[in-house]
Amino acid sequence: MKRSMFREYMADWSWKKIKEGAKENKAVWNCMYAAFVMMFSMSASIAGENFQLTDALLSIGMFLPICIVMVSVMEHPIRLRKMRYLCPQTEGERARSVRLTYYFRVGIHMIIFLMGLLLLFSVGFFHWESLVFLLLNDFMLSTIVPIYGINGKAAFQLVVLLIAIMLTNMAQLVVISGPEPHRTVQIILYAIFFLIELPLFIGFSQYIKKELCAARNFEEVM
Amino acid sequence: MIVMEDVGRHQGSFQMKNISFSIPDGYICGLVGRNGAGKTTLMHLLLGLYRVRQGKLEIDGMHYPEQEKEIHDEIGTVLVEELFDGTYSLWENGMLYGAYYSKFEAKEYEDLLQEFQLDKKEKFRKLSKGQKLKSQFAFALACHPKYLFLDEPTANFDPQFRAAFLKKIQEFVMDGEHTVLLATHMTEDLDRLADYLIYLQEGQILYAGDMESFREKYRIVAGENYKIKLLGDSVLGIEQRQMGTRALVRHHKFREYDRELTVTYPSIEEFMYLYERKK
Repeated sequence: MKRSMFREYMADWSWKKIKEGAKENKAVWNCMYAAFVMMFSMSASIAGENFQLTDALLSIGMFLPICIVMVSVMEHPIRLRKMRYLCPQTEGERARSVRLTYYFRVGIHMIIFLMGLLLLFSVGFFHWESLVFLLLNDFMLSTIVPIYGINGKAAFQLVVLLIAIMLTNMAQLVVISGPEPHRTVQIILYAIFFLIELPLFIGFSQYIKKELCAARNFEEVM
Repeated sequence: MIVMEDVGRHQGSFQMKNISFSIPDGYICGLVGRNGAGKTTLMHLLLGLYRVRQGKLEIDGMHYPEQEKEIHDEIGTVLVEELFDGTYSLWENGMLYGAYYSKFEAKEYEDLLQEFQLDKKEKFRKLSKGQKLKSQFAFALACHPKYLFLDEPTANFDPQFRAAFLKKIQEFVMDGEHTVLLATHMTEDLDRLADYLIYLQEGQILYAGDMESFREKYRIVAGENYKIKLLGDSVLGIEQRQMGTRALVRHHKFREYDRELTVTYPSIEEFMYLYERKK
């Protein structure tokens, strides 16, 4: 089962599909591209003239997993292969398959993030507060799903959540690049997490729940 | 038996209205119509991919969504789009999806792949379009369904396999308990094989009934233009050519035609062609 889910997941990672997706959702891809260029250049400018290999590795450890996971999210919307909707299964059984596939993808995303964190903390300075904070942000990013059609509230929640995650991750990158734990900065970042990110995430999770429920039927996901 | 009663469906600007027919067991049913007539939508409704919200659909006395699992266990499907997973071999695909079907026989699937000259170890994505459809057809047969729903398979088959394919579906319905629904533009296959015809036009049924009634109901009449025009309202479609006029007419058994007119049975293709050229 896990093997087949992994192969199914990997099958959607084709260059042809990514290119087609980029053509279809040009605006989303351009925004993502702009965000990553901006984040990378920001981290370079923070390091200033002393930009070294360590800074580059820190940026890669932080933003490359985000980049991979974002592409993965776009390429793996919540749905099953068409054949699965034709196979003899009850709606309940199909709903279970949808949920399992989704949880599996969340797991894969977390593994990608953990590899990034490993690189991040082996190159930078280790702070417990930063690790917990980044894990929470990474978990939220792992669970997101693409938005199709007009869904004003969910789209707003997702965009603000992504901006908040990017900015707080950026701040954590600065903390990790030095030996100082920056307690005040951490308090502010955790306040942002509990007051902005978490409510937005809870709101967006309702959309995810709705999508998981809809994916039981082919008609809802086509 | 497949029964549809007053089924309707809106999909964007496309509207399907009052679809009613009943296909008895043991029939090969042809589903024809121009592109965009609603063949795929009808197929999706029958497969339970689209829910019937207006009207009634009954397959072997069962209904969607309550008995979806039981219905799907009785349906083998070959759609023009790729249903199998490209990263898996044909054998792996069979094992993966066959596990859902209660009557799937792996050995039979293997034998059918061999019979269709397909390598079971070959990755699905590496096959040609025709080979992909062949493998899906082999899988559908190995599931021992009561119904075979086939959407445009023959266009991609080579002539040799096309003949073998048509023979297979004839064998499939031979016991009088199995049914085939074949959506195709290759109407000459249906002229030879079909026992039942559903002709869709712009989301509506133009004809649904057995082929015998269809052949009884219509005639192609060829001859001089003024003689054909004398047939009046029974002319459904007309084509004027340099050498004379050809028309599709509604026939009844008491009708007599002018001796100088040539009267023949219409093939499905002729029917479709002339019907679209309304008076």
